[in-house]
Amino acid sequence: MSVGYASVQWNPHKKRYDLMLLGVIFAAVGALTAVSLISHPGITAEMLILRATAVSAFLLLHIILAIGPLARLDRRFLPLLYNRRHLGVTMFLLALVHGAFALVQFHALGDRNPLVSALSAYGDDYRLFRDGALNLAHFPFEVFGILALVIFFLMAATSHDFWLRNLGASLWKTLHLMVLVAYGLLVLHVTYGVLQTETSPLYPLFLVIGAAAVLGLHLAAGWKETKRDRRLENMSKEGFEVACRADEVAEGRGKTVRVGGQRLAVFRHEDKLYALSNVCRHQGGPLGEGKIIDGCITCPWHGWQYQPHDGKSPPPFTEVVPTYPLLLDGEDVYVKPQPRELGESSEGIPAPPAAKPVGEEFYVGYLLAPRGIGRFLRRVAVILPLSVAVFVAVVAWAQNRIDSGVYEYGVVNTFEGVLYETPVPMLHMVSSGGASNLLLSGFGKFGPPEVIQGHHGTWVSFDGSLIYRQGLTMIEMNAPESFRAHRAAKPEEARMPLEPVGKVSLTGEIVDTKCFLGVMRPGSGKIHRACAIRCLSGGVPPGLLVRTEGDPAGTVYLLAGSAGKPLEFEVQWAGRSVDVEGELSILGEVPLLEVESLKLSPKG
Amino acid sequence: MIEWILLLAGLYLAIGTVFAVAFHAKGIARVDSGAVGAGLFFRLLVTPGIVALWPVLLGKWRRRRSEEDVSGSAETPVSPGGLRSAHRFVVTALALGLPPLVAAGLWLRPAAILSAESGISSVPPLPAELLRLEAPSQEFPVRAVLRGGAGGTRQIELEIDRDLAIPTLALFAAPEDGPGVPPASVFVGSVHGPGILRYDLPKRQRGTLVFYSLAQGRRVASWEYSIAYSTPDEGGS
Repeated sequence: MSVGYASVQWNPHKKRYDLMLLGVIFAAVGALTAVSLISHPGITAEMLILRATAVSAFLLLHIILAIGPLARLDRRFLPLLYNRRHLGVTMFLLALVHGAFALVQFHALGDRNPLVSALSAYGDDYRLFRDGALNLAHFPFEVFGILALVIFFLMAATSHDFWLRNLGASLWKTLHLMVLVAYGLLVLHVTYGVLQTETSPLYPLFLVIGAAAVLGLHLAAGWKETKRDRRLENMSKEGFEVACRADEVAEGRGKTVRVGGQRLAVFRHEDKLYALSNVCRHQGGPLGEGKIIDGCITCPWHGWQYQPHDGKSPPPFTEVVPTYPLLLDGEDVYVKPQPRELGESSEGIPAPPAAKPVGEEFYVGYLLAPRGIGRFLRRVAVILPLSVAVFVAVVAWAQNRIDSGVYEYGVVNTFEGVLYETPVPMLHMVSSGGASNLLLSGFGKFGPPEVIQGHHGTWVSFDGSLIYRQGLTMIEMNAPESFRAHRAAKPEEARMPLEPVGKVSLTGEIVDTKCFLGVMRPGSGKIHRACAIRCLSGGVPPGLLVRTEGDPAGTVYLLAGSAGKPLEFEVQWAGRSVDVEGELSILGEVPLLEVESLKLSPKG
Repeated sequence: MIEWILLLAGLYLAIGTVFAVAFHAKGIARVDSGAVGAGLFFRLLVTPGIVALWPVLLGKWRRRRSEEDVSGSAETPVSPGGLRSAHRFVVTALALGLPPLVAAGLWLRPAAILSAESGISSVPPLPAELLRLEAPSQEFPVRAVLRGGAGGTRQIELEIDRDLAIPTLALFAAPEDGPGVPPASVFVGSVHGPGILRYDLPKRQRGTLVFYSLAQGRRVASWEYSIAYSTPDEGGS
């Protein structure tokens, strides 16, 4: 309740609440970072940021969604509802960092605007229905995340009371109810994204338990409310309907009743009874569960106040709730379902004294918390971050093995040797120690720069950075201006060390060799698919990643066209399983597959 | 198509940005008296929403100019019954819709192993073990077994626990040690891990094995070996 707006109306409880929130985030990010660095030392900083923000945001969302129904089921959780707005905005910021990082990682520095790429990289797979069937297996999981992020943005952007007032409480609450839709979208984002790559059974188990807990709590709270409405059904008398017994309303307290199909609040103040709307003007909090403090009915959610006799907020505030006529017949309290004129004053109905309320403490965010509630909150403030840290540590430990590989980012060396443009762009380096064949790519998500064209079989030199994994090495030609074509290579220098092995049929995943060799870790699988599509579209040499029982980490075969023809395939097939037939050769130390047939595999 | 959608979205937000400037200058005080005198941080906080929802605020601003009712929550209370119904509908839809969609997603998970065999044939049975060589350093955790067979053939088996992260690492067999790759060295093969790699060696009783990074132009490690006896296949000694 406010006369003029402040950015944040701070009070000690909000500060403590935000400290606990910080504790939860530090616990989540810290546990994920520490455990990942110990158990998966190959993880990159970018991947750590992506995973830490994703896990923290998704976990926070579960907490946010659980607080509402928990508070309906157990009043001790009401204080957690008080500052839930800060939880929501923080969760959105974490999700925003995750989304922005994913956009840069997987779509930037390519041949298409990153925003356009994010919404078009997968071609026909954006159609949820294809060929008369649901295309869930290959539908871009990112779409679910983008839609959820838009909803979170609208919620975070309208989280201030300015919006509550100017959109109107009903529209505002409806907009914020969309958080449940966003939650559903995120469950799909996780199911059709990370769960398609991560193999630990713990991940689906955690997802199912989380969703069951959130939806179960909401259903249980809804069931409790419905049961309560049925119990409150009543009898009518001359336009008045029986609401409750007078002795059910303790001094200074309220009782929620159901009259004329709506919920109203009956309050006792100085042994007089009053009936008011049960709906707080702020966010629709249940006034009947409130308490009279300083002569005003005080909402249990955020402490907004109203005078019992006229429903008005105390000056200088201007909010008003409707009041209702009531009468007493013996012990029975009757209420007329039609409200008085808004702001009309009434005396209240004298009632026999009632017992003092016992037991239950009442929490108001801007006042000092009662002892029992304070003790409960301190326990939550310790247990919650600790539980989050343990849970996230398990999540981090259960990650798939991180791909190996090295990207010497920022380390620039000069390389020279014989340039091969075909079958795939390579530099054949000859040194006193022998010869080696290094793949070539350009900066970002591009293949070798145009300067190499027309120099097949030429002795060249240029600057670049190394990317290597297992027996394969690539040079990122990140300084095309350094390229020099010196002379035609001598026949003994230009001889391509190609040793035929034979015809093979392989099933594997199409990867872009640059990411797979070390720029991205992981550089394969569905979560990397968009990046692989961008890289292949930009001209990075394609490879076939074949995993077998004896080689679960996989071997990459370079793919080239057969008999000098260009390799034909759709870049959208990146990250998907394909069946390939062709002639296998070993080019120096590099397995090279000259493709005769390449098609999508029924296995994937 | 996507470009057009993004262009329209950009245009919408650009109009919203211009509107936000005008709204902060004049409109906000007319639409909501509570915003009069509010601080800069408050204005920053509400700006993203103004940019995104500018048509709603423009409508309110225009109605205020024509003195129509533009009341907000103070006069339009929450409709708990409607909200409760909407909440029940969304939760029920999620409770019914999510389980089959999640189950389908788990069922569609691709198999990690797609091929029963790789395209390259396996190495034939091994000759007898002659000598074990321990890792020369912690940075180079490679162990080796030298094997000998009929006719003085030699093989080396490298056990590598992890990815060595050394570009284009090659193994050379030299008759005598020397700097870099010594003269008369024979290229044995490229080396990478993790795994077990096997190579044929020249038929020598002694020599030096040199690991050399061709891309970095440096020697990574070396082993001198001497096999002072011959295998039963070679007649014993």
